[in-house]
Amino acid sequence: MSTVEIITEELVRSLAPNPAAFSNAQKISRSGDFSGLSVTADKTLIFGECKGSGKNPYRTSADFSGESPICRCSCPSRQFPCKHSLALMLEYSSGKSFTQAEAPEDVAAKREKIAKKAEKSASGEAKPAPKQNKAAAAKKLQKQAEGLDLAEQFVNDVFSRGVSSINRTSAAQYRSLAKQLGDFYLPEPMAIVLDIVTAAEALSAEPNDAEAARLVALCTKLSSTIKKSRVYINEKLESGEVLPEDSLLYEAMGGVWKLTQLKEIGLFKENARIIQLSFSVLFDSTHAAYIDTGYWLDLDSGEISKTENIRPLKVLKHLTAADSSFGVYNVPELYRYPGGLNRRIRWESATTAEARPEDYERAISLAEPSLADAVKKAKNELKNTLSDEATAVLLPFDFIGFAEDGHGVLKNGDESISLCETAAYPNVINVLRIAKIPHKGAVLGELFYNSDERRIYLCPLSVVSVDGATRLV
Amino acid sequence: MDISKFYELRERLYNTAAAGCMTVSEDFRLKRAVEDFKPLAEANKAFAKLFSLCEKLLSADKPECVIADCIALCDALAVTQGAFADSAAATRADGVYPTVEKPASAISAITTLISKSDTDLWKLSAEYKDTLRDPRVISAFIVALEKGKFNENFQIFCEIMCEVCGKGLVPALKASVKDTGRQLKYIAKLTGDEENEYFRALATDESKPEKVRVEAVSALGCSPENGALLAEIFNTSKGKIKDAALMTLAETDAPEAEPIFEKLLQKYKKSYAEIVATSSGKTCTEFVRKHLLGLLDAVEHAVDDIARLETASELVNSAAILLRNKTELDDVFLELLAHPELSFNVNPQNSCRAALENGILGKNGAAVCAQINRLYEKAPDVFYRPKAYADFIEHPEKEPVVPDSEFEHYTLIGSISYVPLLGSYFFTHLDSMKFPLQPLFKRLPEWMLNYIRTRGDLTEKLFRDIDAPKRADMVKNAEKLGFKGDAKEDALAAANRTANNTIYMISSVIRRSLLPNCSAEDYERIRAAGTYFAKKCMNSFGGHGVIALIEQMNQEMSNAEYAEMLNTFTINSLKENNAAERQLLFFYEKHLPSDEVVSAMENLLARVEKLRGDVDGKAIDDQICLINLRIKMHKK
Repeated sequence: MSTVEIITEELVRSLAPNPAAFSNAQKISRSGDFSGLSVTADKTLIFGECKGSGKNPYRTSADFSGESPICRCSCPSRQFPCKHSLALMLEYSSGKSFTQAEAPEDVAAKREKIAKKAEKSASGEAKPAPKQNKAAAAKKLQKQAEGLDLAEQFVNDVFSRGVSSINRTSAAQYRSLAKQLGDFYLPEPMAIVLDIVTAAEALSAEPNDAEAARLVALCTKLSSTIKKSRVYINEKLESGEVLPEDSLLYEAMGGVWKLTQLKEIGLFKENARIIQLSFSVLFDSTHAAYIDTGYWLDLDSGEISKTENIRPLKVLKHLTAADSSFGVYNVPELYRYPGGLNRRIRWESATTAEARPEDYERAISLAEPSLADAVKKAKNELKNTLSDEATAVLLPFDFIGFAEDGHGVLKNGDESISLCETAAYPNVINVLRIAKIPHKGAVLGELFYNSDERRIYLCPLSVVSVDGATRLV
Repeated sequence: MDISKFYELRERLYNTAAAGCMTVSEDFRLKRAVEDFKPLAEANKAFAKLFSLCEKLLSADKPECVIADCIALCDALAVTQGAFADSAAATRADGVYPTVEKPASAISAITTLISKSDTDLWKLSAEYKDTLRDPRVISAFIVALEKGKFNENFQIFCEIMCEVCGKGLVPALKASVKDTGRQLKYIAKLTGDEENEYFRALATDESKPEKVRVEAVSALGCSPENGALLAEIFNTSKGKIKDAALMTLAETDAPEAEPIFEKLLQKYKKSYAEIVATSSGKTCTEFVRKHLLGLLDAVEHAVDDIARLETASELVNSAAILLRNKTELDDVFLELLAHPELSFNVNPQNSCRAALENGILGKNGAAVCAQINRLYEKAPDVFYRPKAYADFIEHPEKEPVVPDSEFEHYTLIGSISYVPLLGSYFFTHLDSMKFPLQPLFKRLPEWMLNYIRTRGDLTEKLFRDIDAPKRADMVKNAEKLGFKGDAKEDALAAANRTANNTIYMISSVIRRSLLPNCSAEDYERIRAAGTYFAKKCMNSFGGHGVIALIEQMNQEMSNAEYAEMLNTFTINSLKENNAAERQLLFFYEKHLPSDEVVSAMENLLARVEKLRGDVDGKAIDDQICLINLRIKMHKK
């Protein structure tokens, strides 16, 4: 439990579901639309009334009596927390006068309900995990196999006629085909087909070699996915082992893992200790979604994993964005998704502790022993068509600097590698130039292959020393 | 081993896939690439596999089913071949800013504001100081400085960044100079003349973009030693670089500028006006004297009214610009003022004032203020305004004590803004953006708040004394509020108009200038003064601007108090025969629930009826009709 004394403008900003909500809250606060500003004697709740577009003011409150703040408002907005709740907190943080008062009845009733629920959960009355239906899984696999034929038909068509051949008429046909893939439980291939069609249509209007190459690579990836998925499905149907297993192909076809499924197949770790070394929000044009990506280091195993919070554009307003995490997370049950070097991870609960110098020392000690080994491992991953275009690694260094032409260089002993920004992180080298960098430590970065330069580069995301992590993104 | 043929094959495969592989069997370029690749395939197993696949592709009935496999293998092989070692000589990174442990959302919020050159940039609260020093934020700032919108908001923000981040910015600023050169002004600000050699090199480097050279030439103003170089650049360059050199010579009053101005001003063009205005040197000063007195003479000897008007207009327009920074031309100012009616509606007073006011914050600010004091001694009626500004800039904590300048107080009060990151108020009037930000005070001086309170007292007194004042007192009060002219003849109407103006001006200054642009500490002080003013006004008249002001400041007002305030406002509007104001009944609905609107209006009805006899009967009837209509709407 905390009190409203922790409210600062920064906290409010971090609670806002998006920057527009925070900006609107600031406007409300500045315009003086609040009345009846009150705070409870124990300073766990603030509440008040805010003028809205309706005749009656909205009753809004921010409750800090639980593990995390709960904002409530009578406004019709589905955004959470709404701009009125955020504005109420801004009123408090800006030092406006709040009168002491008892919690309103409705808030008190809700608090009681939450307390009862927590009691019930603590007493161990957990819901059992639902059993997976093998017959349904087999039926789904068969349907997917049929759908793959459709997807293959598309890819072969594109390769036969060329990526620039897609015009408005053929694009409409392909879009219709893509939508059918959804009926065959293939949402991921569907998304890729739609991306290809849209980009190819634009390409035929405005030819561009680089874009054409990107589309060829995407089609190649889709073709690989189809072929490997077909083999995967056939093997499962023949063996009768139809339930999902530790394979990238489940998600590659559009499957969505439940945490209970991951646990059943042993993809979890108990009592993990992890620390986030970088966090960024990237836009995925294929899926038209923002992805909040955090790279985490396991302080026991040295594995680098990532968290991904996916926020499709269509429902952006209704989803809370993730944010940077600081400190060491102690996770009782860490779920690990199928993957390569950087598996996706998730958890339901964790406790945090402030990161100490020993934790950063430990992190540095977990860096790859040599650049050559790290690059070799990365190459094994990158050459797989189903893998991501970059793989995150932790590399030791005793020198970071800049060559005369401005590009970055990382050295460790006799080994060296070029540092380079990417389209996802365009300013990272600038930031590296400005940041205070230790003389030695470890760099978390993404190794990627640049086909124009025919080289492997490192895009640095964070520099780790015993004093902490200098985040570059 | 030279594997260039492998990369050529890869490129050909991509091209074939992009173009379509329906006719791959006739694709001679692809065939040749495969052939040329054969020796590599014979030497390497992995390449051999690729070669085999490519042969299959060339002979396949359905090459579209094979090409993806070829490309996938090709890409995999390319990755394995990728080198990574970097043997370039490099200098160790020497950045000085540690990252701040703030969430990405906080960093992103600031970098978004920066990329949009948003208004809120310079209103960020002081708690963002640390965040501004984060290298991610600095990087975004530097990118925006080079490529983004360079508007006034952003320029204020540049000043803030220099103040908050200090000299550590310089290496990054220098590294980012590419096309615009905007960074150079701030490098000069941060380092004075320490980077003089750097500026000199850029200014004379013909391989650099013009914009960069222009900024470098401007930056040469950092050192008095650059006079000769600037003169040389002026004499040998063309276009904007030449202009920049001349302007910098004018700004620095370099002795090397004098012969240039002498030659230039032999044939004066209006395009030289800014240059001449900027220079305080002997040549330009003498030129301005001669030019303006010459124009004055031409006005006096004009052949007809049209010529007189034209020449007089040219004179006043020129005077406003050319007299700037001319601290030894008191005689010219006074000579112009000796001719107040140059032509129909053309009066040189405003030009003289403008020239002085725009020089207060400039390079000779102290000398200009001294000049203003001298001129004020001689002509207080004319120079009270620049005197008020000069006093304010020199001693912002003290109320300008200038008779008849009270009317300008609200202009001064409305011209300041608080910049939280710098912890100070700044003057934002009079082209102040052209000059470095000049801090005024950290806390709003008490005289400003007293001014607001006394306006309320005067306004209340003015209306309360309507029935039984002495006429002389009314006139005096009206004059105190700034009205001159015909007040003696129609003091009541004048008082009405003036009071209305005062109410709207003060309300506006408080709502739009002070409250949104003040420090957290001063907010309550302003609110208290504003509330005092508003209540004093509402005791007699008010105006809907005052209602808006009271709403903004008095969140604790109960519905009953609010209803009473609105009723008083409507009654007073009736008494003042202000048709527009008394019809603003929507204010009730804005803030009161329906049932309370009805009871407030019923109360109002009774009070309006009592005014019969004191107020025009038709106005009463109209008002009653409006109120009844409103009541009917709500009762539905």
